[in-house]
Amino acid sequence: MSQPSQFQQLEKLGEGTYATVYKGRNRSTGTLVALKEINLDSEEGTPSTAIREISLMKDLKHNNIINLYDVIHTENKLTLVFEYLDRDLKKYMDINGNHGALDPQVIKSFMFQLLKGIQFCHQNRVLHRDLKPQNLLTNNKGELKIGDFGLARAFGIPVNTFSSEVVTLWYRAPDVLMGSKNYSTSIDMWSAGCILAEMFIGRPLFPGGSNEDQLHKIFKLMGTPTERTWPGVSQLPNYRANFEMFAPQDLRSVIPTIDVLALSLLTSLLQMVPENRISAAQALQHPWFDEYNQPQLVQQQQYQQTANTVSGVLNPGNLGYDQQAQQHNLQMQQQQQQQQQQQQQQQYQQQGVPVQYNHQPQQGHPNNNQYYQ
Amino acid sequence: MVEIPTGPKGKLPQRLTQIKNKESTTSTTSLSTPNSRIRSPITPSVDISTVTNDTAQKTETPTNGNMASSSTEKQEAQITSTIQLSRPFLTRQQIKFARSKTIENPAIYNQRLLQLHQYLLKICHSFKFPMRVLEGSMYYYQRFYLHNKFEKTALINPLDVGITCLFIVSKNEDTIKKLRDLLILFNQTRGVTLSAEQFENYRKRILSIEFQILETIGFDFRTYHSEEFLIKYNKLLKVDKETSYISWLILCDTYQTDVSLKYPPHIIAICCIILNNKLSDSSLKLTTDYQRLRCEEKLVNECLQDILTHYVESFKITGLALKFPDYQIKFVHIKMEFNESKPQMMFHVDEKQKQQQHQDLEKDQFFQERDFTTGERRYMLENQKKRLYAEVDK
Repeated sequence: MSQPSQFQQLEKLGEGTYATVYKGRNRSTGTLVALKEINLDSEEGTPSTAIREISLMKDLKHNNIINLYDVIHTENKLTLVFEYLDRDLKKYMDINGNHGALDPQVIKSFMFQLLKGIQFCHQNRVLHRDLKPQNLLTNNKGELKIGDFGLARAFGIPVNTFSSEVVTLWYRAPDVLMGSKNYSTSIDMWSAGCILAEMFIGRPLFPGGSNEDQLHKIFKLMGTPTERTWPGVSQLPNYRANFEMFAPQDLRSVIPTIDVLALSLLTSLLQMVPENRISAAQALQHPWFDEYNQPQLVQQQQYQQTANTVSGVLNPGNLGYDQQAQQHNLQMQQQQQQQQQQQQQQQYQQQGVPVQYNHQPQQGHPNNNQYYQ
Repeated sequence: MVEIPTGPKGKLPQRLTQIKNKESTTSTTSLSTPNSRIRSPITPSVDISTVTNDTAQKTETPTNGNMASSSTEKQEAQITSTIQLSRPFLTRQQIKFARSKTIENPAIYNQRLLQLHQYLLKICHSFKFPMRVLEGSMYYYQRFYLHNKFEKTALINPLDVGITCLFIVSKNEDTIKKLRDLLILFNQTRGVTLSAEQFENYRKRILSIEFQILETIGFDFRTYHSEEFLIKYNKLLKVDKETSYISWLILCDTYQTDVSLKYPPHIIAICCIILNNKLSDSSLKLTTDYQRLRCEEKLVNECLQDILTHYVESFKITGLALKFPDYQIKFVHIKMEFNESKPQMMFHVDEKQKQQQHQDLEKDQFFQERDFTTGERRYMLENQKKRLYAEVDK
């Protein structure tokens, strides 16, 4: 029998290498939480992953990052209490996707929120290092939040050498795969690219079985790097002169459904050379996100085009509508759209997804960038 | 005592109901009445920093199934849940107060602190740890002894606390080493030999100390690294690398003192730069634009005084003395000059205020002895107060 606790433990949500996650409920407020029970190591005590997760997440308060509420210690158990969200992106894709593939508007909304979260991490000098659909959580409001900072670490000056054994293989950047230890924020951007592609096709873009196989799969699509395309690549520890040579392919050969703007963003994210990869802040300014950045402009465009309304993003069940009926009732539809736009604005406000993202860093803490500017 | 509505049809969380049923048969009847309000078994009462139960309400939490047999007294099934908020910054007076409760003999405490510093410094050199690991360890160590008794009779050896702090910091800073290797080196450094069995027990003891430290610091790993500010400020003030070396040495010496506990990191960094400037007699014009660097001048003065005192009183053991043995006299001059200039200090409090503050501190549960034995202990960051009160006020 376990001890009675402030938190009622409900069903198991998942099991990781160093922790088991349960759904829980706060007995006095009724709030749902995720309880992450840490397995203590008899040799090394509290796992360093847990310490780093607590250490970093206590400082990262953002709409698109899972909130760490408490740390609980009882007898011989350590539990982290997190904000609860309904499901992870992987499950979301399985349930709501068309063979796993999501609707472009949903993808855009998720991607925007993911990039917001990444940008905040990077601004606060934290690398996540393990971005993958299983670590991104969503709820029924259509919000997406980054979770699981067990592998994250702070970076700063001087740039230390990092372990190259990070990031789940499928989302690992080619420079890390080739043994680079000087990676920085670009490592998370590659993962973001892989996730973007995965949302379009419904399955992982590069599902490699081993380090070599992973590189092989990447080269096959993106082209094998050479000193000419990537100066300095041959200096990386795991570089082989006898890598099989591939020419770069058009990404549309594997993601036929992708639109031009999304393709442009994806290409900027999946750059082989880490320095060429777009940053989170830059990616958020990409024209694909104009409707979030310049809502006025896009509203006008939407009257001319037939486009899914953004409110559909928040409730993806609404998305499929009859195109013919739309043509017949163009005027009706315009009115509807207007209403929906208003609704969307309201929804955004209610749900705390700000339409204009003007995030102010927390005051009064030296880890915030205001001190470093 | 806190009361919570039971919700429709007396839906008390299942496990609680079971416990209730086990403990007293009378309460089951009240459970079934739809509109009954049940006294919650969770009874936190709030103080500024620590939330604990009323001592009268406090009961032993059952730890396992056979608790009934172990105790003849009738136990009420109550959750002993304490909530601890973290406070990263303490005032000079708060520190003094906390220490007056934990440290009997400050001289021995300081001696031990310096001894520990020497050992940890050696370990950091051997493992090639960055200096911030040492800084963090010394910081946690000193925090630990704000809330835990430092006495001869205390069960825990301060050196063991020190090495465990280093172990925790190295986990956090991504410079982790196996605990076994760390302890072997530590024992070598201080000339202790243990048999295999003793070593095994020692290792286990360290792991239990680890938890006590984690709880004492409230799982708040926000350590503030002065070195980052030192580098930034030096760049900003255009101090060249060679000259700035002395400020780096001074910063490393501050780890022997408690300035990291008393002052924010950027203040410490600017003090090192100011001292560097004075020591090197350079014509370097240091425009201490405190506003621009977000440094409170009074606080800088206070910190300067602490560092200067350390150099004047214990110059021989500092790292700076190894490189520049002739600087001792310089420090004496700087300190004299500094005192003559009658610098403004941060907190001037009169007797009356002092007494009031002391009374407040006496009431403050944050500074009372921690109980690491009973029930469930929750740790929140201070900036989550809103959430805390929402929960407790119900």
